Amino acid sequence: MKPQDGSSLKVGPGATSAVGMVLGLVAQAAFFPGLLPGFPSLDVIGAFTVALAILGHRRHALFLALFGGLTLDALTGQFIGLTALCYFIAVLIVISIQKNLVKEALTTPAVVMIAAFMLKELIYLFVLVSSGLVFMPARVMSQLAVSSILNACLGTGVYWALHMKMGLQVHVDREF
Amino acid sequence: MRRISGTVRAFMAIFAVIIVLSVAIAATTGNRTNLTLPEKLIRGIFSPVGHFFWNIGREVSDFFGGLFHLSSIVEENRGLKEEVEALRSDVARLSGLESENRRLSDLLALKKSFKGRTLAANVVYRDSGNWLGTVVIDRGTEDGVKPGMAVINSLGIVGRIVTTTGSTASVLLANDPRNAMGAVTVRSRDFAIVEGVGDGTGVLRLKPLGADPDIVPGDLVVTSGLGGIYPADHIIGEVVDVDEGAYGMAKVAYVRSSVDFSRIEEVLVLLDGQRGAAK
Repeated sequence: MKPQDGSSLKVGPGATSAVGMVLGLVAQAAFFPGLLPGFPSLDVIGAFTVALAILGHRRHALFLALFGGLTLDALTGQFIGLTALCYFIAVLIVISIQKNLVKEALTTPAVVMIAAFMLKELIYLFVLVSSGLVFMPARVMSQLAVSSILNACLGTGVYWALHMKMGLQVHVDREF
Repeated sequence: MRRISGTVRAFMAIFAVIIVLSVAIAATTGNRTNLTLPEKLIRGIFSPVGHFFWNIGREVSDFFGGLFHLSSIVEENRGLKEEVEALRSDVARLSGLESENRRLSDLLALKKSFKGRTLAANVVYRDSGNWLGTVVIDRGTEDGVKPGMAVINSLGIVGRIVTTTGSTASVLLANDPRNAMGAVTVRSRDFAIVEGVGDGTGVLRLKPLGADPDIVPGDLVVTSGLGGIYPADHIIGEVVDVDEGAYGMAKVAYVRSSVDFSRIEEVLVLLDGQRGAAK
């Protein structure tokens, strides 16, 4: 964190991805399931990852997507790399369009968040179904909708806190 | 020229990452019994932290659950409001302890009813996704836990051990789509296979093995003991819906599990497998 005008703190992308990783692991795997049993999974790492991607911090977003996803997978020891792959592809798509997004209002980031979380869940589900698992279609649709909307709300909140309250700036890549 | 080579490099890196992740996924899709060293390290570091935050989450949940329960009493007893306010935090804390005490008493009673050796364990954290059902418990190979052992609680079948480390073990929950177990209906003695549907609820899919099964909503379903993992006569749940299928040829029933998979906290591991059947 770097001081800004001596009055407030300005966060950098490195600190954001580190905090997102630690907070995400603790919250996603332990705290939220204990606090809200039966509630759809709240994707904190995904929220930080997509927020960083929207703001153009490509390297940090990809780092968090890969390492955060791999660590989450390693905690349960199944389908290692699946969460990382879902984050990675979702982040790549957000990065590819981020230059065209309006970043100073919350509407566009919120829409991107919904799309990113839905894409992430669809990729996850696609791999599971490809490996022979069967899910009930009605439940899949409702789970997809509810979890995407909830996580988009969380992600928009994270984006608002990071960009509008804590001063995480848009990264402009002049060589891109 | 330089710009093109940079783009090509980026595409190659993306492609390489996707290939590596796909290979890792394919290699860890089936039944794994051994974890790699990095996985063991990550789990070893995270388990105590996860357990700590899981307990905090539970305490907060119990506290607000207690407050919610008290609010109706406050409405009915406005004259006692001040006294209730003073006692509220104590009651909320005690309601959490009471529910924990009740769960542990049930588990102890269940433990005493078994012939074989059992081991009590606590859930320390769970799978972070929406589609699979796995929890990690605080007992591992150092306590005698091995892959394939059945896990139960006072309400019924919870799942089975799939992977272990020295001090932890992953439990594949009965509602995970990768899980299947032999079952029998109590009323008609129809044998069937019960499998998870992976929707995060307690609904399981029951596929009868016989040609003309007699299964109706309300039937109680218990384990058959034929699969080699789960002991016989443990409650799985109750039939809530029967789908006759085309021409009555593919009858499938849906069973509401007696276990609330989202609220599993303490469990019993049956160390002696089939010998762990109830007395």
